[in-house]
Amino acid sequence: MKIETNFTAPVHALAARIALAIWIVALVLAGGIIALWLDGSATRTQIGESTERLAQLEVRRAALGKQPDTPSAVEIAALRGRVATVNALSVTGGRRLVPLLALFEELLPADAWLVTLSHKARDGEVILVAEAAQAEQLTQFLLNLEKSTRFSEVLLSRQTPIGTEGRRAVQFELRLKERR
Amino acid sequence: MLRSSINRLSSWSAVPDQSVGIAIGRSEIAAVGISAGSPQSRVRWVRRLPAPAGWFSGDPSPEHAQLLRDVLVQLVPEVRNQFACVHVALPDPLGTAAVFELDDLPKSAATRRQLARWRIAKELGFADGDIDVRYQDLGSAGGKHLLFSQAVHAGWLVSVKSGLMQAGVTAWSINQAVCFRFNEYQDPLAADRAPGALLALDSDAWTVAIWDAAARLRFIRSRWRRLDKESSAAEPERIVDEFERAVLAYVHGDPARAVERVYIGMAESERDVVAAALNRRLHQPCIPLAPDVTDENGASSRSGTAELALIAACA
Repeated sequence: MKIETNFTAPVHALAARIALAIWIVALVLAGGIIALWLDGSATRTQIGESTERLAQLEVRRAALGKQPDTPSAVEIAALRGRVATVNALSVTGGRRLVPLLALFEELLPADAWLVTLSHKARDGEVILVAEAAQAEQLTQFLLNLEKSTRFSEVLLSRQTPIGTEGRRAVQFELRLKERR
Repeated sequence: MLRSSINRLSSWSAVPDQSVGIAIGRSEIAAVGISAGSPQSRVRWVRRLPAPAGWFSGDPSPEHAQLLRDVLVQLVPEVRNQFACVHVALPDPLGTAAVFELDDLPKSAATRRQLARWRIAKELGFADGDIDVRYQDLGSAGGKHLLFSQAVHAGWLVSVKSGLMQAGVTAWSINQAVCFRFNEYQDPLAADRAPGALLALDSDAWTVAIWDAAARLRFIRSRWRRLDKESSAAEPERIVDEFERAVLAYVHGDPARAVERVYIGMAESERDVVAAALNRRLHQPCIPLAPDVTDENGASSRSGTAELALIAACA
């Protein structure tokens, strides 16, 4: 039986393991360096392309900024104001007057007639003055208006007797609100 | 540069093709480099230098380590700061070794180490801190557990390790000479299946090692040699005489013990004289042992220290 005692630490037994570990670490580091180098090369290429593209965009932006026909910001603001005014004027949102007159013709009794008519289409308001020989005809007209589905509100704002002794009449001033 | 680095890295991961043995004696330090070959290794170089004055005598000091470094720098420049297979043999009398027969072996390694340290310290008469102890379980024989224990002088071991480190030499193993010798001849001894004894002579020390039929070391004794001229002529006879007494004491200690073969291991210059003295006392001739290495110039066998360095290199 061999004597296997030893008065020193058997460092050589660790040498192979340490050498293997060094090799592995070296290979890992080499792999990492290669990967970083490749990544750096790709990044350098991308930087060149991006710089070139950025320069092109700068040139295009400069060219666009110098167009002579482009209105200034003040002119654009003034144009927008005019467009808004035109829109406000052209778009009333109310109804036409002819159908309204046709309706009044239906609702007026035979002995009553319209004296004045004011139609605020944007506000949906109608102010009219109707006249008749007797107040009963105008009262009937008032009832007909109230029955109509066209108006949401019918208000008698003034009742005025007019005429001389030979010819007497009554005028009703009515304020109507159209249904929306 | 890249090729050089790759070559160095590849050489680190491989087993070196050269093995170096260093034998540190009291009067001489020798180193032998061998190249591993098939079927036989070959001696590449053999170098010897005188040991520093006062080496392995008295108490060690930090200067001893520096002196050893200076010697090693000249002796083994090719292994400095290199991944090289280096084995270092220390003279046996620098410590002691014994095989204790125990009824029961402690189960934990710590307790075994403590037991080995206590028994060795008791045998040597040293304090625990003065020795560095190693042990090995050799199995059991005759109902007893065999615990091989060895110890070397801790201070001198530190000096040796420090000197090696300062010289940039990383030792794979440091052990007593008898362990290197016994391991080197283990295969033929095990094949014999016979209990035997070895008388080993180095330049500065001699050792008796006895093993059983299972080729397990059972008895070790070593002594420093007398190097004065007056006693050198009569020294072989005296060593053989002490060897015979040690073998007889071992055999008579237990009826089950026996020594059937006697081997000698030493430099060629002393082999004939010692073998003749030994054969006169034995009923059969002793068997010389030599490492199985091709040495074309025979440089390794001219000195006991060089021969021991060669044996260490073969470890």
